Amino acid sequence: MPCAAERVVRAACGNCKRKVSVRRGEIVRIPSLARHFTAPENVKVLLIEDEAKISSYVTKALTRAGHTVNAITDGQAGLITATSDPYDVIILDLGLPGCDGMEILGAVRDRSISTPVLILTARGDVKDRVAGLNRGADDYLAKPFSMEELLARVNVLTRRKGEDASPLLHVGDLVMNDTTHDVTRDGKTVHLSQREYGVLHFLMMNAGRTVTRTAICEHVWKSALANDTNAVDVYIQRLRVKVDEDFPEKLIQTVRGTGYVMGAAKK
Amino acid sequence: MRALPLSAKVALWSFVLALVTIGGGNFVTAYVLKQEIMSVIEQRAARVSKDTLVALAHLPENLQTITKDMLPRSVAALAIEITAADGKTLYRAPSLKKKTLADGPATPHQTRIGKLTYYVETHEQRGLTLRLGLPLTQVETSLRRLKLASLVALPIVAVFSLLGGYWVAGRALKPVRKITEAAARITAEDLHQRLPLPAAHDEIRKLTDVLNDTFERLERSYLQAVRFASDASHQLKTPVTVMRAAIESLLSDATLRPEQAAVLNDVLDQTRRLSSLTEGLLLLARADAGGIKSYPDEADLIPIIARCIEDAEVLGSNMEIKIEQDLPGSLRALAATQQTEQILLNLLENAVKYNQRGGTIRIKAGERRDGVFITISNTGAAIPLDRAPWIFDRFARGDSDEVRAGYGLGLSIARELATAQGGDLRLLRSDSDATEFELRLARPATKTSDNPLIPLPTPAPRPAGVLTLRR
Repeated sequence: MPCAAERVVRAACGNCKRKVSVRRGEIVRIPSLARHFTAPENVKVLLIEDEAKISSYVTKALTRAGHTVNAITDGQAGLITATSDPYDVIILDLGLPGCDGMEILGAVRDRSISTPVLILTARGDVKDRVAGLNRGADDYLAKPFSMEELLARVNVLTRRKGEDASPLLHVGDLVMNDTTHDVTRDGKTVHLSQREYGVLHFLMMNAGRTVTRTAICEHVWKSALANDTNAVDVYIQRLRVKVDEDFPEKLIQTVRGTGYVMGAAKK
Repeated sequence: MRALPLSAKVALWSFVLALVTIGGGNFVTAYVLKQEIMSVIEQRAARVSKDTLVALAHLPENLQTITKDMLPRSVAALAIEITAADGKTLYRAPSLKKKTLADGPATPHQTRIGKLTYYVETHEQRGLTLRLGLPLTQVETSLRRLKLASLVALPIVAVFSLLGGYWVAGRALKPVRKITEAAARITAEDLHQRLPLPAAHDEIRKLTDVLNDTFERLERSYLQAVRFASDASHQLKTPVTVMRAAIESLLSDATLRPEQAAVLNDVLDQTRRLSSLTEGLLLLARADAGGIKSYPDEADLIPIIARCIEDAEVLGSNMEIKIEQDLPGSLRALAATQQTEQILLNLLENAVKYNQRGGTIRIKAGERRDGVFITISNTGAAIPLDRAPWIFDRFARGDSDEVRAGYGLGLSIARELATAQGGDLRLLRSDSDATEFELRLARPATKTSDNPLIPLPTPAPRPAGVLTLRR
């Protein structure tokens, strides 16, 4: 039986052009490899974003995560593609030339296409957000955003749509129920504070991907925390005590200079 | 006088005007009347003196005295006085009561004897001086009556001019009052409204036109400001988004050494600060342009406060700051969860930042008649008195001598967020004991059941882009 990790590595290698062999049962701590742990569900993504640079970085990040991306920079072309071809998720920028993002969203929903739509926009106003969600968008991400956040949201959206609608997140023997907010490791309940839960949730959503302190800080505190990201380190420390201390396999790893990664060796 | 309403002022002015008119009118009337009567008296005097002189001409010469019988009866009835050249009085009418009509050389002149004033004409004939006095009773009576009439008229005129002035002014100002009411209704929320134009092409119409023009300009600049906030938002965020994506892309490069990654991480965190600063400025611009939209919902504040206290403990652990809390088990308020959390985080971060080593932060929450309140106090140095009124201003900082991290937007943003939710944020006190802030929020509109079996409403969906708070 081929190791899951090996399969992942092969899938991603065409992109990063790096040859890595991973043995069964090995815990990989190389940061660049961490992202390859996530199972590539090969999600088909339609990206409609007029800013070429943002579009290219998002495409790169999604492709690395194992998704297939069709990037379109023009509003009109986006409207036609979104309403004619099937996709697993649509990432839509609101400020588009030629055709407003809201129009595309309206057209998609008017044709009863239920593809999840994630809105990207520079307009972070509550009013705009409410308008977008009312129009039928599934999620909303304000610019500037972190790629980890974007990838995590795409995962949630595709999972939500697919048969795997379970609220459970697994990393090794660590299980998080996002509905009841219960966390167990090896069957034993782990008691977490609200903030610890928030940090762990983000790490588990991005299991296998390195997340920066900045991204954690933004996700958990919604940018409301002005202080430097040192608080993140304190919470990670507390999580380590609660989640990893009593177990030989450490799920939370530090990626020096970058951030943290959560991952378990596949068995 | 300045505090009086315009109609009262007009009433007073019309009163003064009426007084002046009556006074002036009376003066002129009295003058004309006097002149008229005097000319009648003068004519009569001329006629009577002629008769008298004729009578005198028939008298024998060198008389030592003249008796009443020597004069014709018509002349004897008059108030006359005849003196010889040497000054000796030859005759004096009994009505003069032995007093002389002579009063200097002028002719004619007036002199007063007893209660009467006489108009005196002096004539000389054959060495005799004849003084003829005609009483001015008629003039005096007329003038007295005139005075009396004015005195009676005055209070009546006063009452009428005051009431009338008030009424007229009130009537004239009625359209102005209407305009004031209509203009007060035009707020930032509905600047597109205009004042109704009155039918008459008068001054009020002109005023309405001018005001409508002003509202037009105001609306234009308001819309411009709103559009600016939105455009600037886009313009500023796009490059930051690209920068971030580029840095994150670099960070995912495996060949990077940890030291290089650490540098990139620092830059990444600066883009976070940059974007939260941008977000903060835009939020304030939006607030200035007419307010931030907030959708407060009924929520329990205690879990929110608990989260923020957790952060305060983490942030304050380096400085050994103690946290004391006095919180009820549950505290329901009308609050936008995310915005409330942002306000509390800002207050707590400040409470840590401006505290002293080993200091204390006290958090208290509860309900009052005017709403739900949360107070946060710290034992740091007091905000100087001269700065306290301005701490909610942009870029104001408590301690100007010491440079600390922060952009000085946090408190003003926190206050805008509080008002947007229908609440308030204020500095309760800042002395040597403690600096204490109070966040007040509205109570839920309808009192819901306290039955724990009824599930509590879930908090609003998590908003995506919110800004960092700094003081």
